[in-house]
Amino acid sequence: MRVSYIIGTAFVVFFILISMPSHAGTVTSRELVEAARELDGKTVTYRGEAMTAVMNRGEYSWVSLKDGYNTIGVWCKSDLLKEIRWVGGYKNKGDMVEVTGTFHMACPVHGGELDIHADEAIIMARGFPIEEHVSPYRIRIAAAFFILTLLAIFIFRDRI
Amino acid sequence: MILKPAAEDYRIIGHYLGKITIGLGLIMAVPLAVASGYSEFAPAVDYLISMAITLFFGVVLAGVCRTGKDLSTGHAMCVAALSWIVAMFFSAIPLYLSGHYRSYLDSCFEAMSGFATTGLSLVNNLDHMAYSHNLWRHLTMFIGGQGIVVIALTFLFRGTAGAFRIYVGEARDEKILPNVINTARFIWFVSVVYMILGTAALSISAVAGGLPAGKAIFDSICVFIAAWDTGGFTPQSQSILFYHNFSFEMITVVIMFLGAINFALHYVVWTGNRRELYLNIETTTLFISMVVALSITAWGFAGNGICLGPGAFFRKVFYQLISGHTGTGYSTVYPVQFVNEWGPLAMLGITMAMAIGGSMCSTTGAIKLLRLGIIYKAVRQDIKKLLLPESTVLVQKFHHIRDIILQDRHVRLSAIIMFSYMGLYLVGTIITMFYGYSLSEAAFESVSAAANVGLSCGITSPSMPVVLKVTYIIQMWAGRLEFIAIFALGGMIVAALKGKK
Repeated sequence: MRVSYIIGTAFVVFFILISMPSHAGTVTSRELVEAARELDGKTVTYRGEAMTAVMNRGEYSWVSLKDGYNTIGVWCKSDLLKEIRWVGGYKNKGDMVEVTGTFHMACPVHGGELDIHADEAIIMARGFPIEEHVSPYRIRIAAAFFILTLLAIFIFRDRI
Repeated sequence: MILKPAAEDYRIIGHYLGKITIGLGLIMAVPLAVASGYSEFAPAVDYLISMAITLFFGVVLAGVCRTGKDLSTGHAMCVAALSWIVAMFFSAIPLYLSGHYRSYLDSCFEAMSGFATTGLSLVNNLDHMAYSHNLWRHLTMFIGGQGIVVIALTFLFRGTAGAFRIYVGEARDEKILPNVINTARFIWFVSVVYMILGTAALSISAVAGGLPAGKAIFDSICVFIAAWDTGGFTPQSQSILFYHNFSFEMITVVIMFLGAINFALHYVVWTGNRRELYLNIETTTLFISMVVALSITAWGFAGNGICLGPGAFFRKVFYQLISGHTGTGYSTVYPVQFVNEWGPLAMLGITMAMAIGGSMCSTTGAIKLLRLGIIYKAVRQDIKKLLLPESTVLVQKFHHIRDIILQDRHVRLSAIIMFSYMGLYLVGTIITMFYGYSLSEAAFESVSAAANVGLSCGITSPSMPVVLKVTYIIQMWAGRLEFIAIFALGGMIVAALKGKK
């Protein structure tokens, strides 16, 4: 009786374990791209800077997250991304977003793309505007060369 | 006996080189205006510096080398070959000043990749790049794709007898219209019409895909330029994958095809002869080579155990193949996926398509369809000759705009260029293999550079060895100019060193 009870419990635990989605933990974009086969279909947590734009497609949206090596496309409910205020570009550092979801090496829904279908998205750090620095030294160089060019045009005006 | 070039020869080359450099300096006003429009002040200063340096060099060179003489064929070839090198050095200045490149060599690589309409890139942090710098990258493709010399022909060399010779030196040897200036203007006309249509279609698709309108229009202009000129730069580090948009991908496929078609074919189709599309030797060769390359790629892909539905197969496999065959280099996969997931046989299919390339007198590089078609016809003629009685007179024709009788000179010229390309592919492959890459990876990257494609399997990166960067720069340059101008420049250098007065 006790032996059959233990075996039965072991079977139940075993089936619960194998039916649970596997979780590959926090990954980098390098791992996602280079170990795509191993991570395909697994639940992953990935963190990166929201880049360029959140592309709204109705109920769902695309956001591209860059972690310093690659940019990975993330597909998730638009509601989860409405907190994103800053996207990365020349003048902005984008919000740092952490997503958790299923990784696809060749997504069956999105034409074989390598992507993450996220169930969770958390803003880890806010982005900010990047202050542009104009070097006075470069302005002086530009002015010097323009004067030289005007001088050259004047000297060679009949020879060009 | 080789004769040493006279001072007058150097002056002629210098004068025209100076004029082309002035043209390049003036074009820098475009990114300068964009920088001002987007309030990008640091890049605006970068363009002021670059423009001033370029104009200064051009004015001094054209002025010092002033000559009343017109260009001979030899001079024109040297001007064509040197203008690309000079353009690379000057166009790299604003890119280097942007701070997105590790070294000046890297920015030279980017500039040559742009001018040669290759698309291989060494940029760091592209997604944070200024609009003006990004536009300049794409503008180099437009300048190179349209032809640095075509631009000069249109605006600077009105009526000169040597104009057609430089045009030929830039590997554009078809006169679509009787006058070469009109030919250059027709190329501009076609390009501008397609630019308006293509940019509008891409913008609508991008906005529908959720991209803000301003960004969608800017990206669409850049993507159109790079697709039409079969270049391959994109404003985003993920290439076309960034847009996650099937209709956007399909529009780029159409533009890539149009860019890979001979301008002479564009002309006859525009003037009403649509049958030419089915009869032309280039379009028939393209169809056959596409089928063969797709079969090899699909076979290799299937052998790797990756199962894709028809839609995914089209967007992954077919897209990269079209991109490779037309010499564009747009991608919807990450570079290392070629190695990790596609495998050597699928890579071979893409490499083969890249090595063949598109049409003559288009913006593509590589061996090109007409030459392959001519060599196929010549081989078929020789086999027929073996099978028929010796007394039989065999006339072989091919159809390219009109019926042309196949002559030895056609075959000889096609064979010379084809073997030159194969040599260039091979040298690049061997040098790449010295750095520990496999044959399939090395051949893929080498062919991509020399055929001016831009697809990468991950070798091209800012951390790539300097020797490989220089090798690929030379391959892009030689591949784009199709050797003849470079042979002429080499001859000039030998004559200058060893010739007798």
